[in-house]
Amino acid sequence: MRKLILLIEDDELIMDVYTKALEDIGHFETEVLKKGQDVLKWIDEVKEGKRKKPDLVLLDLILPDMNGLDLLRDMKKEEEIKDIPVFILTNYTSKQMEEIGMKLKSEKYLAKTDFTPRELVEMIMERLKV
Amino acid sequence: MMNQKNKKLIFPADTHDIVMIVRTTIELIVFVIFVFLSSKIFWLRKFPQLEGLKIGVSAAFSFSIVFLIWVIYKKFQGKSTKNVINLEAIGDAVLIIWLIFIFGGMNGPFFFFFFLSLMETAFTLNLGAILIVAIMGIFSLIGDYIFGVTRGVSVLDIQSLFFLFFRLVSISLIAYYGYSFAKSIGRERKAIVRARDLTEDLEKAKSEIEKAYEVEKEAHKELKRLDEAKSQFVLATQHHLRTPLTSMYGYLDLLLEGRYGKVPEKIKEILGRFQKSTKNEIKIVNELLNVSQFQMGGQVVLLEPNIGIESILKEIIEEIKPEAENKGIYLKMEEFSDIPEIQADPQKLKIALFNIVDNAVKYSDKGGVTVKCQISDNKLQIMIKDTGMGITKGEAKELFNRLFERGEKAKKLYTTGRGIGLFIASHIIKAHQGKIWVESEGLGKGSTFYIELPVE
Repeated sequence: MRKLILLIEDDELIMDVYTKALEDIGHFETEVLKKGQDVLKWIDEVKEGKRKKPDLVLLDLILPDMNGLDLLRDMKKEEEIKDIPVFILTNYTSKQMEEIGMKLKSEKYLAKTDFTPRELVEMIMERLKV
Repeated sequence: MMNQKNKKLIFPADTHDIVMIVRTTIELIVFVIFVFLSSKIFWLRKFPQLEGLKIGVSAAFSFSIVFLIWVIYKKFQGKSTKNVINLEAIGDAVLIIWLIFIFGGMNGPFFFFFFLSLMETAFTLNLGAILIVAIMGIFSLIGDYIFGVTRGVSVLDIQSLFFLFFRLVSISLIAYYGYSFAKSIGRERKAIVRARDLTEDLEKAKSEIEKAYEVEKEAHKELKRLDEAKSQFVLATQHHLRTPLTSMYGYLDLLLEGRYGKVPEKIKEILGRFQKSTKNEIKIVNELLNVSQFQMGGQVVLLEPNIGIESILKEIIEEIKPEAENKGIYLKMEEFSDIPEIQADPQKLKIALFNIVDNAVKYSDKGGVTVKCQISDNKLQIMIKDTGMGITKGEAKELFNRLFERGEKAKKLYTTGRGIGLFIASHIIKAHQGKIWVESEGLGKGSTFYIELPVE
């Protein structure tokens, strides 16, 4: 059974790199959302049971229309979604943001440039016990 | 506090004036009416044969009342509770009524005066006291009607001289009473005017304060705007610098892993160099962003409790060891024990210590680097000693400066150094409430970096 990873990221290239890294392994399938609006719609669809729940969410903080932390807050409010582990994957490194992210119950706050895609995939595999 | 023979008046000047006009008018009307009435019943003559007894009794009573009044005032001198004021008022009323009684009753000056005090009472005391005074007044009127002469001659029926003396006394009393009353009104009015002035000043001061507050608010808003602008700038720079680096780094990694197909050896080597460059670029960008964050005054460290220095130092040594081995120098950590855990930001502290150890390795091409840890004077001291090129006294002072210009020899030894590593390290150590300094015996004699951190 392949695990579903939801990737919330707006940069095309970065999205491509991560989806390739994840899908090549064979354990994962990916779903991508590029805008905050899309994520809100997705939340509603998951609540209505129209979408498959992902096993892990990779969340970028800087999206074209919204702040990723607001989306995280919205996600953690919904019964069906709040237990899905979230890794914040961003290029914005600030202690304040990190604190807020952790307070909002994200499991990790990672800077994209600190990890190769491989290392990220390993982290995910460890977390999902694959 | 007015401790005179009158009551506290609590009205503003305006009402006072009205009161004064009203009472004066009423008194005049009453006076005129009773003078007219008394002239009509002047033919009443009562009990002339009790003259001597009358004199005696009246005198005794007069003295008693005056004595009583004096006692009351003496006892409650200065006090001004409601009961005391009531008592004093009643005492006054008793005196006045008695004086009415013996000095011509309705025709005499004290009758006029009685209404004065009644009006005052009405405005300042409670209903009970007013009633008592009024009732006493009525009784005195009745008594005077039955016993007294109502033609302006006193019931004592004394000789003119004596009568004159008493008249003088009564006029003095009226004058004194009237004067002190007027004075109290005047004082009251003055106080009210003063209060009005003060209120005006207060209003002015209030509007000044409000203005100042508005200015403060604007300044605060401006600061906030500036702060937000700074954060926006930091955010934007971070994002724009790192985004392309992310995909570069990522694609390189995937390529080298063969995810896009087998890579020929030669290409692999080139890609490897590309990756190394990219990694370096990422490091430079990180440093730059750190420096700019310090400059922006952002929060530098996030302190966590129970951080062990040992593990951080071990990690650092593990990471730098390959480079040291490549250069043929040693990098070792002396065993230490009983080093307590401290409050620190582990990531930032690692950066700081990494920079120092890295520098030590970079600037040594023989011998090696030793890392030591000890407790000194309730502070955690970390020493990084190298056998490298050493530092002059002048350089030692400027070393942690952002704009520190490395000497020629240093540049030759470590060509790719950027010179801000130590600046960042010192900033981080300072944010930990710690101290950092360097000691060296001179060029070519190696150097020892000292880092001191507080222990809880």
